[in-house]
Order: sequence, then C-alpha cells, then structure tokens
Amino acid sequence: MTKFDSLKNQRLASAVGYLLFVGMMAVGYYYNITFVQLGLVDLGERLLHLPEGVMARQMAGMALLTSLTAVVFGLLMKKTGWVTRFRLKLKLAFLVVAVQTLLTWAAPNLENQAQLSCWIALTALTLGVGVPVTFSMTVDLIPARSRGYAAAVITGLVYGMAPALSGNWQIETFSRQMLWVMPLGLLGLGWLAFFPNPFVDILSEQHLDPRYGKGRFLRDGKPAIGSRRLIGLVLIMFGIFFVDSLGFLRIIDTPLYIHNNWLSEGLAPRLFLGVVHVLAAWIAGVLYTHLNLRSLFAWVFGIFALVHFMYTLETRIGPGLSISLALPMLYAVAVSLYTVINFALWADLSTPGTISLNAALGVALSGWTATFLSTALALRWRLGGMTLDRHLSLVDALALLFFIALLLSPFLPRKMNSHQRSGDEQS
Amino acid sequence: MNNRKLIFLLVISLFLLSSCQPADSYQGRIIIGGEHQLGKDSAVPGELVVIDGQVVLSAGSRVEGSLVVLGGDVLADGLIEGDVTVIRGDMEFGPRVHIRGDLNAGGGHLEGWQQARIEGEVTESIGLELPVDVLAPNQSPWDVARRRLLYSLATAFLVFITAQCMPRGSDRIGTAVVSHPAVCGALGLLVFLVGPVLIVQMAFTVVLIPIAFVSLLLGVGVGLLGFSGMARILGDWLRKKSHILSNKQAALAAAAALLSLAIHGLNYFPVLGGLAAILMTAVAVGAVLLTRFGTRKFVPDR
Repeated sequence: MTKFDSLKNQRLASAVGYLLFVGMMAVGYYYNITFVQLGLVDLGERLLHLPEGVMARQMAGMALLTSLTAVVFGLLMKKTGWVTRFRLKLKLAFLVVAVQTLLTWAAPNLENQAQLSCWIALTALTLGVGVPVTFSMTVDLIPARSRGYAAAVITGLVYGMAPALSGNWQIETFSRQMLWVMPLGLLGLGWLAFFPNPFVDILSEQHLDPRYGKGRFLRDGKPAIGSRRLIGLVLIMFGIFFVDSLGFLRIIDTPLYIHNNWLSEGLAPRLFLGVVHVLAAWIAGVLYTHLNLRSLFAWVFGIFALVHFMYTLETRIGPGLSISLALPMLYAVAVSLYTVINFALWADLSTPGTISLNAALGVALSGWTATFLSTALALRWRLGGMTLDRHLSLVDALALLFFIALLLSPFLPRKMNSHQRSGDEQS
Repeated sequence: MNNRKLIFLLVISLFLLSSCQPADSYQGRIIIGGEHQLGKDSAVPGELVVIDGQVVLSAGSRVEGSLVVLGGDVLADGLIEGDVTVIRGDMEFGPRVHIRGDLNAGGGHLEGWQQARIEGEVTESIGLELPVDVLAPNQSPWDVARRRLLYSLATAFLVFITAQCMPRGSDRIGTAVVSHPAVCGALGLLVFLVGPVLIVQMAFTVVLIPIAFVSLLLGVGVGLLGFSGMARILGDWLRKKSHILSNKQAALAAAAALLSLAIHGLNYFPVLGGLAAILMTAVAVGAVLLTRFGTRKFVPDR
C-alpha cells in the first residue's frame, strides 16, 4: 500500500467513524426523548391505566437505576481498561441495541404494572450501560476540534425530526418508528463489531492521536476527575436539566400552551419548531467551538428565565405570545443550545482513559438525576395545589439565580497554578 | 476585583430577580387569539383588549374597565363599566348588555347596539379608521426605487459617519467579520431569535416600554456599527484594487454606499434576498458583540 492509499484509507475511516458516531448518538437520543420519556408515560397512563403518581414513581426508579448503572459501568470500564478498546465498545453497543430492540418491540404489548416494572428495570440497565459505552466512543471517532459541530449535527437531526415525526405522543407510534431504524443499526454495528474490518482497525488507534485523545478543556493533559471544573460543570448542567424539566413538565400539562405548537394537528407549527431547533443547534455548534462555556451557559439560563417569565406573565394577562409560537421558539433555542453542549462537553474534559466515568457522571448525575428530581418535585407541587402561575414563577426564579451565579462566577477566587503563583511571588 | 463591575452586576441581578413577582401595575387582559368565555358572575379586573379570537361576555359577567376591540369576534351580553371602543373586527351586542361609559364605533362591524343600554354617548366615527391608500399606498416602481435609493443613501451616510467616529472600533469589527464570519453570524442569529421577543415582552409589561424603546435604538446602533466595520474592510479592499479611490475617506464612502445599496437591493429578490440580508446583518451584529462594541479584538477560545 502506498503512502497515498494509506492516507486515503485513514480519511475514509475517519469519515466512517464520524458518520457512525453521529448516527448512533442521534438514534439513541431520539429513542430517549421520544420512546422512553414520552412513550413510557403514555404506556402507563393510557394503556395500563396506572395513576399519575404510580407512573411518576416508576419513571423516578428508572432514572435512578439508569444513573447508578451508568456510573458503576463507567467506573468498571475505566478500571478494566475496556474504555480504550474500541472493538469491545462496539460489541457492547451491539448488545445494548439488541436488547433495546427487543424491549421496544415488547413495550406496547405489556399488560400490567408488574410487567411494566420488569420492563423498566431492563431498559434502565441497558440505558445505563449504553451511556458510558457510546459517549466514550467520542474520543475514538470525533476529533476535539469537531465535537461542537458533531454535537450540532446530532441535535439538529433529532430535534429537527422529532417535532415533524411525532404528531401524537403514543407508545405505538414511537415503537413502530424505532423498529424501522433499530434493526438497521443492529446490522451495521454487528458488521463492524464482529467481522474483520480495516476501518475498525484504523478507528481503534485514533484515540492515541492527541487531536482525538486530548479534550479541549484539559489543562496540561491531566484528567479532570474530581476537579473543581468537572464538579462545577456537572452542577451547571444539573441546573439546566432541572430548570428545563421542571418548567416543561407543567407546560405540557397545560393544553393551551401545547396544542397549537408541539402537539399541533397541523404540520406547519411543528416544522417551524423543527427548523428553529436545527438553526439553534448549528448556532450552538459554532459558538461551542469558538467561545468560552460561560457565555453559552449564560445564554441558556437567560433564555430559560425569559421564557418562564413570559409564561408567568401570560397566566396573568391572558394568552398571547405562546399562541404566536414565540415562546415555544425560545424554548427550542435554549434546549438545542444545552443539548449540543451536553454531547460535546464530557469528552472535552476527558482523556481516553477517563471518558467512560466522566461521561457517566456528567450524563447520569446532571441529566437523569435532575430529570428524576424535577419530575418528583413537579408532581408534588401539582398535587399540593400549586397554581401554574406560581409554579412557573419559581422555575423562573431558579433560572435567574443560575444566570446571576454565572455572571458573578468570574469574581470567585481562583486556584492558581504553579506558574501564576511563582509569577505573583516575583512581582 | 473591579468593584464598579460588581455593583453593576448586583444591580442588574436585583432588577432581574424583581421581575419574578411583577407588581400589579396594570390591571387588565389582552386577548390575542383562541376562544374565551367570561361566565356569569365572573369579572375582568380592568381593561379588556381583544386583538383577535372569539370572546363571549355572558349575561351577568362584568368588565371593570373599558373594552377595546381591535379585531376578532366579540359577543357582549354583560356589564361593561367603562367605554366600549371598536376599531376593527365584529361586535355583537346581546339583549342584556349594559355599558356604563361611551360607545365609540370607529370601524369594524357592529350588530344590535341600537337595543343596548348605553349610559354614555355613542360616537359612530372616532376618526381612527385610516384610508386604504395610507395603509397601502399605490406607488409606481419608480417611486419605490427612489424611496429605496433615499433610504440607502441615508444608511450609507450613517455608516460612513459611524466608521469615521470609531476608526479603531470599526477596524476590529471588520477584522472579526473577515476572520470569523461563522461565529459572528451564529451569535448575530441568536440575538435575532431572542432580541425581538425580549423587546416585545418588555413592551407588554408597560413599565418597561422606555427600556424597550432604548433597546430598539441600541439595536439600530449595533447594526450601524457592524456595517461600519464591514464598510471599512470593503473600503480598504476598494482602495487597493482601484486607482480612482486612492483617498481613504472616498473609498470608505464608496464602500458604505455599496454596502447599503446591496442590503436594500437584496430585498428585491424574494425569499433568498431577504435571507441574505438577514445573514449579512447577523454577521455585522455578531461582530459588534464579539468585539464588545469594537473595544477589543475578538480571539476565539481554544
């Protein structure tokens, strides 16, 4: 093989890796936000006639089990060194998708609460394994400089398609959609994981290249586990997921605010929201690559604060902007911004050896735990008779507090590194 | 630590937090769409403004202020404490309607008002109806072109003046536009998505109308500053390429005119022209924000 052929193969392999990662994450995320988060509630409440409180407990249990499994499996991958073995990760991903395909096929046929509980436990275990496995492939497949753009493509694909494809939020619809895609993914993953393939050989070595293996936010190449920066970012992402989920859960329970946009019978409003999501994802991809994270986080919290303030105002003076799609549009912008950050961030804080645990901590602690806690809190507030106005005011206040904390964060005392310290002493 | 910055941030923070519980400074309800019915024994505390949608004020209901109909369909059969003003839309008066104030019929379609109990005066035309040719004047293509040329020249003049007043700032903005157009465009588009909603919302709160107005002016200023950066870069390019425009200021003026004509001219092309103009403006606005109004050079975070 000539040097030119070798270079051509390397480039082709990188492109295949990029497509594999984007496709896998997009399908996985679409599955999560439609089938798991919306379809499961529909399954419990509409088909199995379970009360709202029971379903909330089931969802909470699922979130906790997923978080726990993700962290334990992420740690296991780190300790055993599986995290650096790309082909093994492909095999694990194949297993996860195989089990989830079966679970997706079985879901609409469940008949009682006991079956649902077993189904939820199995789904939580596979999702928990899936998070560190798939996220850890970022260091194998996507160079650090392109992570913002790859995350933008994933987010754009998912949120661009989701509003257009999901006219009703029913488990049968989601199950049918996923059963078209998942077997194809299974075939592709199986071919890559179990058969000799020169592309996979090249991709298995990519994490050794600093362009792939060294995260953008790593200082001096040191892993960030336990660092103030990682903890701070987990907290901020927790705040974002919490604020989003707490507000959105109440908004989707208010027909006036949902029936003419996200659940509109006409395609045009849903398509509009899809286009806004895609545009915002592109914006987030570009800004993530070129700006510091603080300004992006400030935008997200600022927009959430504005949206909830506007919803609160509407509950007092009558419906206005929510009908004109302005509020759902802003909501879509904020969600796209933080989703892009969430896809790219954890790999940029990690080395190939630490990515599984960092991603598990980030996604599980911030995403799943925040969603679980906000679901429980939203239910408690609603059952306690809290009005929509008051609920959204509190979410607004929370978003503003995070926004203000971000504005004030540059004034926090910083830990100096050795160079800065010696510089100070000299001066 | 910069104390002035900290105090500024704290003041802004307190201001933002105060918006979580807005005071009842304005009593009333604005209806922009949908179907609404005010049942028996229920009341609207203050003014009721109907912009669009279908509204039924049932017998026994009460509007404590005035009713203003700007559009939509209204069936009134209850008590209205203030005036009723109809400018557009359809308004039907039920047999039990009682208006304590005046009825001002400026436009729209009114039905059954002759039988209504009205304590004040009835004015059939309050002069709010605008003649059709004011709303959509019939202009020849030459008039349109002349008007657009005038706008272009005015914009070019303002861009030129801005670039002259802030030479270093517009240089930095221009450099950001050329070096990082994607980042500038992305930030500009984000501002376009959020800014208008924020301004409209500020106007809705009534108290913040002056700030909404100032924000609009600021937006225009940011646009001009952004275009001044673009004009400076274009002017430098023209000066290098053309022997006629060897003078720096003449090149800048020509660039400002070209840029302004391009932006106004793009609107002649349906859909794509408008999109291109929006993108150009977004890049200009983004560059201004990234360079903090031209006060520093934009360096991407690596």
